[in-house]
Amino acid sequence: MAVLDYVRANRKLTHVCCRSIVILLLLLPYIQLSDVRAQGFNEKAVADFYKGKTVTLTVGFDPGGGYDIAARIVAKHLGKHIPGNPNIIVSNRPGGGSLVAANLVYTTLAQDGTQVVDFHPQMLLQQAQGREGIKFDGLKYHWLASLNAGSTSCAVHVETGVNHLDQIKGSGGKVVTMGVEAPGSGITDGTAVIRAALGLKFRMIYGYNGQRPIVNAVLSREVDGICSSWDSFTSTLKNLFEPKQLVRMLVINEPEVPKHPWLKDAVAAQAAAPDDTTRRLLRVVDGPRAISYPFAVGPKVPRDRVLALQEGFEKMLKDQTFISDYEKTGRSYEPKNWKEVTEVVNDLLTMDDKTKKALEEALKRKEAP
Amino acid sequence: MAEAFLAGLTAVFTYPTFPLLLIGILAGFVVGILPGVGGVTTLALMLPFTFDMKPVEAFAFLLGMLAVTSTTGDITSILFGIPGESISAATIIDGHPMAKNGEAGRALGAALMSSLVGAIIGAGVLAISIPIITPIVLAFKSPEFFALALVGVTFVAALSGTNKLKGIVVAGLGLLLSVVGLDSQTGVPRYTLGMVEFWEGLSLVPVTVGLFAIPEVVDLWIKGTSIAEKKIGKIGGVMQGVKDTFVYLGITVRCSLIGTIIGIIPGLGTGVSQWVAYGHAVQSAADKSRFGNGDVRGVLGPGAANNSGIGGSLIPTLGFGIPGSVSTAILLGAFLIQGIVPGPSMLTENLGLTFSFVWMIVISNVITVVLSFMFLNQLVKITYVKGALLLPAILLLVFLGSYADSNSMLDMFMTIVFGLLGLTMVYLGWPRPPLILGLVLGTLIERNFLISYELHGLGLFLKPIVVGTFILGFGSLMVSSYRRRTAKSESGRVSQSA
Repeated sequence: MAVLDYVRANRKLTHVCCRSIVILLLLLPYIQLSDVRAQGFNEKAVADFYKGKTVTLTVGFDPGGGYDIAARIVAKHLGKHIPGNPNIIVSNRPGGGSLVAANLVYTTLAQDGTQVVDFHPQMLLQQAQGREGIKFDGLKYHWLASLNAGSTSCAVHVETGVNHLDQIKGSGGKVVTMGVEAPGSGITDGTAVIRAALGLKFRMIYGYNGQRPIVNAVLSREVDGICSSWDSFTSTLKNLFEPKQLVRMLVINEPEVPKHPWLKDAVAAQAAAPDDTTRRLLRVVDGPRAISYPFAVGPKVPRDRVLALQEGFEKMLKDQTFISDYEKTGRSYEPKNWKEVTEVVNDLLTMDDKTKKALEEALKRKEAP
Repeated sequence: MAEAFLAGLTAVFTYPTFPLLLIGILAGFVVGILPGVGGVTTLALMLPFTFDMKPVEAFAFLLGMLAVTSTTGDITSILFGIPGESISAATIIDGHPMAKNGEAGRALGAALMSSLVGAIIGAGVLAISIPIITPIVLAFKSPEFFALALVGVTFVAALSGTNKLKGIVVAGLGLLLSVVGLDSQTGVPRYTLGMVEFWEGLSLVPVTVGLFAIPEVVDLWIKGTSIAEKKIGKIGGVMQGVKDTFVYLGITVRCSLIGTIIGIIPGLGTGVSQWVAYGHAVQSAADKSRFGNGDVRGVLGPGAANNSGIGGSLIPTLGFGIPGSVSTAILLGAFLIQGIVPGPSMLTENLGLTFSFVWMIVISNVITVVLSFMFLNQLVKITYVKGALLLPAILLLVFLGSYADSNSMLDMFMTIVFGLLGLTMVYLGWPRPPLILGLVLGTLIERNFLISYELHGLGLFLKPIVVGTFILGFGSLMVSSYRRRTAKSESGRVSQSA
């Protein structure tokens, strides 16, 4: 009774104590995890495991694309940064826009640290939308690194006469046709969200089979423009600007416009967004682009090996010979370590209901403006 | 210009460019013979090796490899009825029956020589057309692609043998199979049986290998003989095939041009041109009776077209950075690695490099053909080996090829499924090529029609190139039909007078 009396008398103090205990309990697993990370891993055990073994990088696309080439460069350099120096090989498992590979490594292939997956992070956005066919959980994948980052940017042909975003906004705004793929791709979702967020008069023409055919359609003036990754514009689509400027960049999905001559008339989508939900929506839709060419291992891989692979990737990302080889592909090098990738994935997959609803609404197929 | 042309030639023969070209040719030779491991895959695998090379060295290595895969891909098509490359499937239709008739040498000679002629024509068109090609390529948009693909379906008539109705039904089945996968407009899976593996549609390699190779394997097994069922003297020899190329030079040149033109237009590619070329060879012939049973013209057409496409697809790639095929898309990656921006610079500061591409295609094909001729007589002897001894190796090639396409057991299963379908079709006398044509063209027709309709409504049928293409396709059908009737009535008159 005396205890109850004391609690009643010191209600505030009791609340503080109870809250502290709950918070401590919630933080316990993380405290343990950070402790393990601080301790590092058993290097000898990991080296014994990997010695003479082959680690397979399962790429979700056919040979020859950006994901495949990135994986082959990683395969060339990663082995020396992992204890035991395993052989690294690349295996292509195309299908479902890399969903086959993502499912396979998560559900079927060995979870012993010898199977690494390299799939399109757009699949994570599809997971967030509850699309069918997804058998993995991005929150449970152990992320190792990503090599590239980009933001959706929209450009229109110079012959449209559109020089600024304001010309394609509002009731009197000009309608421009934008080539897109089927719903669910990065290009299509990015275009739809930028249209919805900024109220642009984009008439989306669905059905193109990838970025190249859309660019061809822009060049032949079948459609007016394309939204794609800024990184693509500065690498594989450079010929749209050099030697002659054929398109004009109107918008880039960033908080502010990066300093670049091709972006001098462009608007930063996140700065122009009307409210916080829209800003969050814009960030979410480009989440996958922020972790392009990501690498991960399955959820049941032993912790020691996960830590060794994460550390190996981190060392490789700073290895000058690797960077030099990667940069030869013409792609910009904007790596993220496992922590940064995990943060982006968590942000993407734990979006609040309001943002989810806004995303659903933005991605709905609409009649031409 | 002439100086750059010669400089391009000299550059190919410098050290280490020429040895690298030879290594590329060797790799392409092996890859071309192995079914499933396509030229595209090998090109992608080899790309990282070019990081430290100079531009001319890198392209000698890559182009040397690419230029010969379709040439050597014809070899397994003819000898075993297994397409070494998916782009050499049409060679099977007449090439393999020729091997069965004891004319493997003639078929191989014709395939190799027509490939060389095709490659030279493709490279020649590449050399002269870069400055003028841009407006032509840009004139082709979705309505024009739709019209071309639709007219391509009319070649079903030529691929159907004697029973046109059966051909149309089979092509319909091919069109139906082409809708398997994600709908290009809505992203909704169609007929995928709940399997993600089918989201990108049916893979062409297991379908082609199953449909064409499995019936041949079963046939060989049941008969218990060798592939060649009879021996023919000199006429079955390699040199006869070489002579045939020049006897039917018109077909070879026209099919080379078909391959080049389809290669130039991005999105169509050699997968289509080989069938169109075969269809043209049949349609343009007055006597069609031997097609499908071992007519050398049925080898010359696709043989020329699948090689000339390489030169053609390089034109938009070099001219303004639009790859005409998957392989040139990978080559475009090589351009970026070398720091070269395709476009007008290829005609100014990089003109020597541009011309060196022309020479690389020609030289690697000449070397391949010469090398192949040295071994052809030995290869032909395979067709006389007892089937029981060959079957394990052929089966290995069949299933290795299917598996290697996407490292998937499902593809091996699909090979068996389509193998059973192929067997049934052979047993019932239904033609198989229209199914492949329907499958290849179905996707192009649907995708481009829907985009065109969204943009132009029914106005898409009024576009000048669309109207022109339809008139050309219809006219070609009429001419073919008229020729057939004339030939029939002439043969009727001859028999009456006899």
